[in-house]
Amino acid sequence: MTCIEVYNVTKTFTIVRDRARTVSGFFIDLIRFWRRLERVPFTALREIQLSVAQGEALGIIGANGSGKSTLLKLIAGIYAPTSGTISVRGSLVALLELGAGFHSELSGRQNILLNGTLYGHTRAEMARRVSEIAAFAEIEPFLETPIKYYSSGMQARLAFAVAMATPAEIILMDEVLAVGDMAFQARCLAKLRQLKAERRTLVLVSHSMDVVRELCDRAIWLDHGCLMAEGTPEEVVAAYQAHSARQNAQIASAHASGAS
Amino acid sequence: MSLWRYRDAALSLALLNLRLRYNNTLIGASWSLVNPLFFTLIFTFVFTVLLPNETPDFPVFVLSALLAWNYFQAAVVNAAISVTNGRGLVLKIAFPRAVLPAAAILTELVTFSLALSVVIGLLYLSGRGLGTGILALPILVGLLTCLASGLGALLATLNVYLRDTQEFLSVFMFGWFFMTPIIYSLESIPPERLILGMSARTLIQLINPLSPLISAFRQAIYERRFPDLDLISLSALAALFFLAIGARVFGRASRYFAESL
Repeated sequence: MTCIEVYNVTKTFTIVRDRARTVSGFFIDLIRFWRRLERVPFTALREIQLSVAQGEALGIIGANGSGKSTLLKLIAGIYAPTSGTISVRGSLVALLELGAGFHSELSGRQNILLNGTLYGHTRAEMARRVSEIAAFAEIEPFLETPIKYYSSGMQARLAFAVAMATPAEIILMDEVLAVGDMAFQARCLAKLRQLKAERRTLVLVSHSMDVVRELCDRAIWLDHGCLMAEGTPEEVVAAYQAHSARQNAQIASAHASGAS
Repeated sequence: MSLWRYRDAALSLALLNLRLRYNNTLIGASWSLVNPLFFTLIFTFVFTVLLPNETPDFPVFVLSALLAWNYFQAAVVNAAISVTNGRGLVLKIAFPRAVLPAAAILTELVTFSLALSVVIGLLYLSGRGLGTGILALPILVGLLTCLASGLGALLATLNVYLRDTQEFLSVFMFGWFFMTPIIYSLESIPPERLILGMSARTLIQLINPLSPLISAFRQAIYERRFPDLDLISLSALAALFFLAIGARVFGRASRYFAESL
């Protein structure tokens, strides 16, 4: 069963230089309405076609600025596609940045409640999970301490733990595995394997080719908003790495010729 | 409706707002009551000592309308800036955007309800009695909340695209305060006073959607009677009109908030 269907999706952003946000700027813009040159369209994704089956783990790889995060945000519903359609079947949670929605003045427990409700859970549900989350994040002694006193590692662990406590059927993740020490990373990977075993759908953006190879059933490679390759993680990672190597070689030779 | 499913998110954000607001204060949430009492004191000084008038129980007269106004103003202003202030959340978490203005309104509703209850309690203890007006208060508070939500959602949308909104709002609210029967009653405007060829009383009633609601609050608390039904129906009309417009505009625009912020 397909649970994410991305059909012919293009996303264009309007980059506005020195955008009119003041009264005078607004009127100046009204006057030169026809020659407003500061609006530049930028296509972040071009005609992307993708479907993810229920229980599948999909890896998304590509260079910085290739559109990976934009694609996740489109699937999550944070952005609306410029053209094309996206349909999602089942409950979805998107982890785009660990600690988004955390507030430094709130205690660990209060942040668990706040963050959980922003992901669509009730306070009662989250309250039941507090001890489990605190145990996973290893912050039990500091549950009532404002998180501004937490180390960055503790904050990241708590954020990951809250996110992982979700019963969502589809989980989107944007490069959130690179947190915590080695022991915690190992536990995160174990957690993801467990989610996979539970037949939940995972979509991971990662720069770690090992994670993609180990965890994902399928991968896609994006470059400048275009879908370059799709297939088994081995194939796609190999294609991406070959491309990166070629590019590095070109840059190196350009430097060499520039220097001579 | 998805906002209903995320009601706990609005509650959590409102609790956060309250906690931050009263952090490091000595008297905490009592400020929601002390603040309007101070204003009442000031208006009473101005309108009984400096500019004497005939209104009996002037402090109660002012407070009965001022409490509702304070709630309305704070709710609208905070809802208007809720989306732009919540940028970090909007960009990173996919929750219904209406949670943000809803949380802002809820925050003010909590403090207003506390202040209103205490004032009603004090009036009762002072031996004035309460009358049937108190029965209308839940309806009036509900209508005021609808009006503030609709207008707040509308302004929040506008503020995403034009940050001037929030700057303009403070001036606008100052003017609106004086165009609303709070420190005066409509009946105290001389009937022969004309603005643009129209009676000033009629004009205020016509252009100010808040005017009937504030008058109704005054009838309920100060005059201790059930507010006139035509005031209530006018208020309901205005409240539902703004709520419908606000919800529609906000709902349509909110898909694009993330990329516009």
